[in-house]
Amino acid sequence: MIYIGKNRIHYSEIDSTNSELKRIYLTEEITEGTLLTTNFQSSGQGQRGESWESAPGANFLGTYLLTPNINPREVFVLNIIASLAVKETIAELIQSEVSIKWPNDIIVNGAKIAGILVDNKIISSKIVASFIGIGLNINQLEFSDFPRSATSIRKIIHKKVENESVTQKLNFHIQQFYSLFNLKGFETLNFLYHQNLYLKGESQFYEVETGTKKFTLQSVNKEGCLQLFNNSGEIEVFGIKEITFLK
Amino acid sequence: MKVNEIQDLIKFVSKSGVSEVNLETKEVKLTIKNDGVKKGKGGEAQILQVPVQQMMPQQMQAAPIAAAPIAATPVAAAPVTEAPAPVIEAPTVADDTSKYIEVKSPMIGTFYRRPSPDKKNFVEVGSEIKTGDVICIIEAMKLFNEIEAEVTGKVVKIFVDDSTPVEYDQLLFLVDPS
Repeated sequence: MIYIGKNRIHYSEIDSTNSELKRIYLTEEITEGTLLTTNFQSSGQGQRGESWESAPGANFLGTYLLTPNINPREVFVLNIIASLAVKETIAELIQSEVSIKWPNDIIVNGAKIAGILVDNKIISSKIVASFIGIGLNINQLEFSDFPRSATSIRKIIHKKVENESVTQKLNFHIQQFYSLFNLKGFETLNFLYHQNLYLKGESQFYEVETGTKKFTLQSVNKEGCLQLFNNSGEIEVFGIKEITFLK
Repeated sequence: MKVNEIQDLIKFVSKSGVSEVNLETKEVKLTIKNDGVKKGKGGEAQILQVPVQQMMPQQMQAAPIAAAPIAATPVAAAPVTEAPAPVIEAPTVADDTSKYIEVKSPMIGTFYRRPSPDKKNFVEVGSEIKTGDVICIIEAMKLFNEIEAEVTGKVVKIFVDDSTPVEYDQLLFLVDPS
């Protein structure tokens, strides 16, 4: 039995929690479930080439080490585990509906409240280590509204929240969904992910290569690609840089 | 793209169970379709290779070419009007590649040769690598997968350009372990 977050490393400032935990993993023995947190990331990562901004000390910024026994072809389940855990953590603290925007942003009232970035190490077609990086806005009040408006728990409930209590909840939920995956496998988690999927079943405009088009979001396939119905009722499949949400 | 590279690719596609491979480099745009995947046997591959700048309005259809058994069948490119049909010799065993280790993609995603856009490539042709060295990243839906070398040796060939999509089991590198 592993305890997520029991082994804890904290820095007041670090370049990026994913990079630092990776460095530690390469130089010393650390147990699965280790959590590395910081008050401030000097070069926090968003998507490749994009940065993640966070006011010092206001938010949860951390990376968990997992060593999951999964086929690289099912690697998307790591996004699912992390998104569900973050979603549950936030849902316990606020009244509004929390949903998962494909592939792994957490959304409340159309604004982004948390982001996830997973780095894996793969050798001989096996995942040897997974670094699950999470940025969760807790007490930050000011955001630049680009590219999507952002929010925090404090902005929603108008009350300061102890960072450490959020960390405890997050540890618990990562543990919960990781165990659920180990017990029940991909399908159970995939079902829960789809139950919380942002804009699922809604007809909305999206930006794709051919212009602005209306689609009804249907599902996310096993590879993690987004599947939507077009106007003629046919399914179209998109990867991450092939489609932009307009809502 | 060299003729033997195309042949290798066709051979790989017909064996892999992949139904279609699209490859675009500076010089060529290549589509290989493997109908054999659906039928289950005797894969038939269609190839279409034309210089990109000539791929203008009308899509050129290439004649189907038998892919298996590849070694016995000289592969002829489809005679297309605008692009001169490359002369393709019957396959001969030119270099001994059998000792090389193939590194294939463990997943569908985007292939990156660099840790980030402002950094230099993990490896080049000729780089000496050892077990555990990161040789590329494959991004799959915001998951960044660092692929580590499983052998010590020298990179002989890199099959995929930076920032291009890769299929499951697609050939990425050839490594000379000696």
